[in-house]
Amino acid sequence: MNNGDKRPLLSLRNITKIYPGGVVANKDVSLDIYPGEVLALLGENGAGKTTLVSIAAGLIKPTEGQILVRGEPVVFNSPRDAMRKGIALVPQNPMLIDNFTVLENLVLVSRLAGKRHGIRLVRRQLEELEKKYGLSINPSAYVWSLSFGERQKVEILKALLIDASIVLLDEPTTHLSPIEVDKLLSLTKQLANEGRGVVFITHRLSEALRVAERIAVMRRGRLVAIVSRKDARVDQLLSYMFGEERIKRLTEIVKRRRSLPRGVRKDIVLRVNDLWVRGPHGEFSVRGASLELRSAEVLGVAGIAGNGQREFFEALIGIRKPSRGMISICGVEVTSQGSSARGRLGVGIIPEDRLGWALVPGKSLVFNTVLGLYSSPKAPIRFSIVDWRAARKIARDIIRSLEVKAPGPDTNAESLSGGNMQRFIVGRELYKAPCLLLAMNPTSGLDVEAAEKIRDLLLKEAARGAGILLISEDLDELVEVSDRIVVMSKGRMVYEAHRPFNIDKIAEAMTVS
Amino acid sequence: MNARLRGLVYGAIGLVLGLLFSVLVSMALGAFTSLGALGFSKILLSSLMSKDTWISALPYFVPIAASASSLALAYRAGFITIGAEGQVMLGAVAAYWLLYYVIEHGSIAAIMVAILFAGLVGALYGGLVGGLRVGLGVNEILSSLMLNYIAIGIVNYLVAGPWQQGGYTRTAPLPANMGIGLSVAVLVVVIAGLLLELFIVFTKYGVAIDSVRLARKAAQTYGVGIASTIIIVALIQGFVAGIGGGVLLLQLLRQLRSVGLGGWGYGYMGILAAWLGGLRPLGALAASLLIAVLYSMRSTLQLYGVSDSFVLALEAIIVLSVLAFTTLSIRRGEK
Amino acid sequence: MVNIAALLSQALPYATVYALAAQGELFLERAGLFNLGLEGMIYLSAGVTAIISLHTGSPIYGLLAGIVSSIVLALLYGFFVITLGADQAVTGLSIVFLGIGLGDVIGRATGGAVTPSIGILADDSIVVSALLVLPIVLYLVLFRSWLGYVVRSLGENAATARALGVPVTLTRIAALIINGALVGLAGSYLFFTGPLGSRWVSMSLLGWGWMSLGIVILGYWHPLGVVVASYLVGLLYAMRPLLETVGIPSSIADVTPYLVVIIALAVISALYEKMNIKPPTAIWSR
Repeated sequence: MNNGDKRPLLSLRNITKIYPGGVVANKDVSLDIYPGEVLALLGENGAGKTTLVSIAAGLIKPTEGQILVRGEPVVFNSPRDAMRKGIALVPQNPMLIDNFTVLENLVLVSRLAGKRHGIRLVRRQLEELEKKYGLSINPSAYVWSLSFGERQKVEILKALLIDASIVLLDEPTTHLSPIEVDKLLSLTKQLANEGRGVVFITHRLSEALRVAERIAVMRRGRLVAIVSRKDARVDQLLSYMFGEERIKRLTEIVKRRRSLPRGVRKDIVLRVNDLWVRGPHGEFSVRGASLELRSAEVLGVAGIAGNGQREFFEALIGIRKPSRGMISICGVEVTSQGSSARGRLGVGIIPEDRLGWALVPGKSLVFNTVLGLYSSPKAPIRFSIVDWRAARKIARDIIRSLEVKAPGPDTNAESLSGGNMQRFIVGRELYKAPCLLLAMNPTSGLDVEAAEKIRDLLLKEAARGAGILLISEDLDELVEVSDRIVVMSKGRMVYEAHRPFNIDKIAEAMTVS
Repeated sequence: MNARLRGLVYGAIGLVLGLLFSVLVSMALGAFTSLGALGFSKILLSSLMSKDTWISALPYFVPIAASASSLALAYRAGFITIGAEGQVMLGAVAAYWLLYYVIEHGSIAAIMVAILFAGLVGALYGGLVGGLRVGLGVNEILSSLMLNYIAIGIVNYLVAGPWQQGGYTRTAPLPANMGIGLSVAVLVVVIAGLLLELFIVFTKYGVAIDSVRLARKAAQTYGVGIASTIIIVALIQGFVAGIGGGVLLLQLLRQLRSVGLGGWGYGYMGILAAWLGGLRPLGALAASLLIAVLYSMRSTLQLYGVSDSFVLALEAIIVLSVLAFTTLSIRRGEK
Repeated sequence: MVNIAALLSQALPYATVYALAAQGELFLERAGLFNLGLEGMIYLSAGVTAIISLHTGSPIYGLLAGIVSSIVLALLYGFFVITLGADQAVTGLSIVFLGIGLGDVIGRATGGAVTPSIGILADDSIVVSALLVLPIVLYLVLFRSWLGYVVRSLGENAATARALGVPVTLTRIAALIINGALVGLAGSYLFFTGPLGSRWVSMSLLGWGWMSLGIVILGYWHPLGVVVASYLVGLLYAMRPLLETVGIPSSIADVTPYLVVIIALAVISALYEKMNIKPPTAIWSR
């Protein structure tokens, strides 16, 4: 395509964003988006892609730099301003009001975007959009009852409803099944063919190559290259994404991992039998799940987000009561017991959210050490009295041995970066010398190197003899580290795979209902 | 400077600025009174400077501090009860009943038992609020408030009914041998506050309490029982407030009288002192002294024809301005 | 024999005060803030109403001044909570003390003189608006208009609402003004028609704000539920003399509304959840 004779729809000029605390998320980024094109914004987690589109969508303000819409300089004080200029963001995690219906959400947004749409008009437009794009959705459904894919549909409908000329898709494939991904990619192209400018953010090279005419690569907050698809070479894109040196380091890590000793599988450390668990709105999210895990084994649970994984995990760690079925851990039946029973058995828990679930924000690493070990036999607590000296020593040891970048054990947990937080959490859970480690999406949002370090740690722990249950949305990750993979769909284990894995089969099973 | 020390320093700066600012605002508010801003300022300052004011504040310090230090514990757990008022009242009722109607003599042992019994009744009343919250999901702010009014009803019923003595709606005063001195009363409350502080800092419940407020899901995940933590907190809170009521009766009140809808007010003032003290029992003790001093000024103000409820406004001003300045100061410190 | 009709109408003034204050609070809580300060706002408004009516001779000026004073307290609350990010509970509780303290100083300055009354016409129109018009208007605005979606989105998830482009601060300031105005009107009305009728007596107007907070929950954050709850609690108040006539001591009769409310709080939420009426997520979740 020749961009020479077209004016850009959206221009970002010398955008710099420095967050309070000094993190430089974007450094002098300039980028043009033209009508009728899909531009892929490629980069690993933490490269600054989301920050950049958030600026373009008016969610955050740039520290420096300028935004132009159709050549005209604009200042966005709120997402409302951006929507009124025809810019719509489809965020990675849908931002909708859960207790509102689809229709209420859409009416709210289109009104805020300055459209005088009443409830009836929006309903009619939805029907038209369904015909045109095949995006069918029940407008009276509450958002909380929708799957991830459906919520994303609502987000896209939002963009279409306000007739956005610029659509920013932030990692739109993260929570989708392979079939849904195909549909989304063709929809993306359709949007561009209608003359819109589309930005498609991804950290997956293959998707960028499939969908985009031009690929802009970001690394550490900077825009390092823009290449057109026909000139793109995979190895070159990779080196843009990571830099030569890091690619070398990563290959080392992965190579070294292959040679890690494996532990000896013995006892069953986790047995789940016909487990039924209700979700937050009373519906059954887990519907008869069963599995077995032995010591020194890594069992991956694959599945598309929202198929009951979270409720399954919550039932396993003892914070959500199962309605039926049985859970036994390290030989002890714990079905109706709470999390402290798991703690006493020395179960390690790595939850999905780092702040607020794994760590208490606003409290020191020492405090968080004590909380993490609260019910464990290795807790620095004697007769209900906390031995703060011992706790501090444990925290310091974790910081040192896992190379957590933190000024000291008294540091506020909140102030750590994602990778350092996660290393601290993993270190704390490994300190329990667990017989069973339950982890959910432990590398989500981490950059590649931080993620690899976490995977390494999990594998070493398995080699020591712990059984590891790894629930993850990242199929590549599961294939890399698991000894065995079960696929969870609609609350049940529908497929089991052994090494060497047939990825197509697994992907297919993920979408079976 | 490490982050913790830095936070403390900036917090202290905010506290001092807030206190100074509140004095200025209070003086200005004096314009609402018949004394005018200037006249009111003179009285305010001379009262604050006088040793007598501080000593005469100590009897009020007792119930306020017991409420405040116990509420600090509850608020740390995110359990926003305002039930100390009712617990103080029922503590006093319990101590009176046990000493006057059951034991009927004033030995040291009897008095100790009476104070403990006051605490026990307070704990039951507090535990009721906690139980309703945990068991039935009843908002603790409202249930504790309703229980305060019910406590007022109980006192009013007793003094106008079964316990009434003479023509007025009040009980007979306790005999002279059933009582404790001011210094003992203060000592009991200070020790209770100290124990609460130690409880938070050194027992595992301190960790549980803070986690429940700041990250409930993390607490749940790593083995802290949310329900049991709230119940424990509610019981201890009620216990200490109840003790405050028992000691108040034995030292200051000596008898029970009928109460208006505003209650005695000590438990409510304790709420302000708990926040003013930074949700730490020891801080709450210090804040309670300040609040008690203001409260004891009301008789002086009445002499000059100023409504005694004006001190309530002054107390609120102190809390609000300290709140504002510490927030601003700590925020600046974090930059 | 009890005169039922008289009893039902005796409940009206009580219900009006509760309905006005509780609807004001309901609106604010739907916008994601809870103002515990109602007790102080009602008290201050009553005091200001007393003195301004006395000095100007016009009850309407008094009423307006009372409303303004209550809005000022609501905005003070907003300054602390929104601008400074202070804790809502402590700010609200401080407002209680501030309002009672200032209200009493101001009210006492009337020396207990009888002020001009608002008259039966104004009285009736306030009753009708509070119990019939207001709940319907609030229901239509909150649940059937997009402006209501804007307000309620803040009570559900303010961070998401902000990302959707909802003007969070502006909406909340508007909600605070409505909160202050309705609560202030409740205080003025209480002063004119309350137990002592257009005459200031210190500490006689306590407990109304607190009970209104409870009524918001009893009505489960729904305008129609709140008005029903207001009337029922009003009825409980009106029934107190009746209880005394059947031999219940007055101190116990006085307590019955609180006793009933605490029991109702414990049993009611399950019922509402069945009717698919939900509290604002940011304020209260079971």
